[in-house]
Amino acid sequence: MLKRDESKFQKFLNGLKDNFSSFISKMRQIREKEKEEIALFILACSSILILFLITVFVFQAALPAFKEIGVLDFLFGKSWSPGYGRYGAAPLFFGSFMIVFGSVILAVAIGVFAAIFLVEYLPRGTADFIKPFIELLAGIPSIIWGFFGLVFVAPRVADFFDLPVGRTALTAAIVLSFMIVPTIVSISSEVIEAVPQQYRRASMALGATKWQTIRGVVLPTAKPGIVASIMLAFGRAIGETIAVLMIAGSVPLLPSPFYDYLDPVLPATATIATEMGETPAYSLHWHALFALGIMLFIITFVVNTAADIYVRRTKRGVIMV
Amino acid sequence: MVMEELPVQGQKAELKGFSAVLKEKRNLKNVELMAEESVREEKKLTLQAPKIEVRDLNAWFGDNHVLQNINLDFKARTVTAIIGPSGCGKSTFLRCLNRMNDIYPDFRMAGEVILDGENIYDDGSDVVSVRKRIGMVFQKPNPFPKTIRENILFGPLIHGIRNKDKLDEILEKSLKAAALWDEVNDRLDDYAFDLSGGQQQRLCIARALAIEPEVILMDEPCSALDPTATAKIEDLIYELSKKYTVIIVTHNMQQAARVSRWTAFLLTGEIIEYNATETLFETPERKETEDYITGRFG
Repeated sequence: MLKRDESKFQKFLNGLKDNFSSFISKMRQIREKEKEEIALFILACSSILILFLITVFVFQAALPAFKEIGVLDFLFGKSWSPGYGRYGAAPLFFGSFMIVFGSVILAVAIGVFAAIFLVEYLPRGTADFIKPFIELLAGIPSIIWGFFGLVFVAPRVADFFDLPVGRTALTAAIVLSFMIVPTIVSISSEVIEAVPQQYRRASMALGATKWQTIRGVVLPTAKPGIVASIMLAFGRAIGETIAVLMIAGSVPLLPSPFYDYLDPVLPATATIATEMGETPAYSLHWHALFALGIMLFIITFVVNTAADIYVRRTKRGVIMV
Repeated sequence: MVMEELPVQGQKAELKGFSAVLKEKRNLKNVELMAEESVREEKKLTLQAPKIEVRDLNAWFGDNHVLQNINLDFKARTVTAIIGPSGCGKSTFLRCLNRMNDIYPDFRMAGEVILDGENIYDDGSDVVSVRKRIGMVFQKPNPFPKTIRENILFGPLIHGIRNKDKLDEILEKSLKAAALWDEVNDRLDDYAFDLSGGQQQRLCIARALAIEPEVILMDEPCSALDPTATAKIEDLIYELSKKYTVIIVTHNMQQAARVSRWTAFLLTGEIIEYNATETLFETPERKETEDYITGRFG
C-alpha cells in the first residue's frame, strides 16, 4: 500500500520534473522569440515615432502663424508679401493646385495610354525593352528637369503663345507631367498586365474588339491600381520644389482670370524653399512658412487617405497594387 | 496471356457501365419522343444540313502540328461531344471553331470551317460577327469582376443595343435560359464573384446566350465544379440543345455519354472516330477508341 503510494508519488514527481524542464525550455523559446519581436517592434515604432515627431514639430512651429494671422486670413488672403506683413497664402496654394492639376491631367493622358500601349499592343519583348527607359526617367534629378524646362520648354511656350516670358504655370505643369509620367506608366502597366487573361478571352469570345475589351474589361478591372498610381504621382507632384521654382515664374499673385495657365505663379513649396533661408528664425514669416508646410502636409494626407479608402472599398477580383 | 486477359474483363465491365448510362438516357428520351412534336422535330433534324462543316483542318503552334486533317460535320441543334486524352488538341480544335486561336501569335492554320455555308476564315469574314454567332464557355468560370447584370449585358452593349427595355428583356431571358433566374432575380446588382462556382458557370453560359448565338462551344465546362453543379450544367446543356448547336469538349467520358448525341474521339491531333454517341461507346469501330473508353490509357 505504502509502496504503491510511494511509487505513485515518485511518478508524480518525475512527471513534475519533466513538465518543469519542458516548461523552462518553452519559456526560453518564448523569450528568444520575444527578443526578436521586441526588436522588430521597436524598429517599427521608431519609424512611426519619427513621423509623429516631424508632425508635432512642424505643427508647433506653424501654430504661432495661425494664431497671429488667423486661419481664415492665412488660407484665403489674396496677397503674399512678407515684407509688408501680408501673409495670404491663397495665391501660393492656387499656384500649387494649378501646376499639380495640370500636370496630373497631362500625365494621366500620356501615362495611362502609354501603359495600355505597352501591355496590350506591343510585343512582350519590345515592351520589356522600353519599360526600363521609361522608369529611368523617374530617376532624373529634379534640378535637371528644371534646366530642361528653363532652356527647352519655356522658350517654346513663349514662342507658341507669343508671351514675353515663358515661365508660366503651363510650363511648370508640362515639365512636372514629364516627371510624374514614369510613375504612372510603370505602376499602371504592371496592374494592366496583372489583369487575368481569362477576362480578356471571355470578352473576345463575346465578339468584343480589342479596344472594347480594354475599355470594358481591362481598364475597369485595373482601375484601383491605376488610381493608386495617379495618387502616387500626385504626391510627387505636390511635393516637387526645385523644378517648379525654376520654371513657374515665381509671382505670388492669383492669375487673372483665375484659370489663366499662361500667368506666372509661385507654388507653396517654392515659396518655402526660396524664403526660408532669408528669414530670421521664430519670426512671424518663419512661422508662416511652416504653416505653408503644414497645409501641404494636410493636403497630401487627405488625398492619400481618400485614395486608400477608394482602393479598399473596391471589390474583389480587381487588381490592386 | 494473363496480362492480356485481365484488361479485357475490366473493359467489359466498363462497357457495361456506359451502356447503363446510355440506356437510362434512352429511356428518358423515349418518354419525350412520345410527344408527336418531338418526333417531327427529330425527323427535321436528320434532314438538316450540318451547322458547321470542318474541312481539311490543320493547325500548328510554332512547329508543333497540333491538328491534322480534320474533317467533321456538326449537326444543328444537338450536342456533339469531343473526347480525348489531355493534350490531344481538343481545346485547340474547339477554339478553331470561333477563331479564338487568332489571339495566339504563333498559331497557324489551314483548311476551312464552314458555318452555314460560309467559311469563317475567309478574308471577307468578320471575326466579331463570327464570335457573335458562335458563343463560348470556358473551363474555369470566368465572370467579369462586375455585377450579375453587367456581366450579362456586356455582350449586348458592345453590340450596340441601348434600349433599356430590350436590355432588361435580354437579361431575364438569358438568365432564365441558363436556369439561373430563380436564384438571382432578387440580386441582379450583386457582385458576380459572390455566386457559387456552379452559379458562376451558369452566369457565363447566360452571358454567352445574351448575344443570341447559334452555336455554343463549351470547353470542359464542368471540370472546375462539384458533382451537384455538374449535374445542373449537364441538364442545362440538354435543354440548350433544343435551340442551339452545342459542341462540348470533355475529358469525362461519362459526361460525354450522358449529354451528347454525337461524339468525336480525338487522339494526337487526329479524329480517330466520329459517330453517334451510343454507337461509339457501345460498339467502337476502332481499336484506339475502345482502348480509350475502357480506360487503357488516357
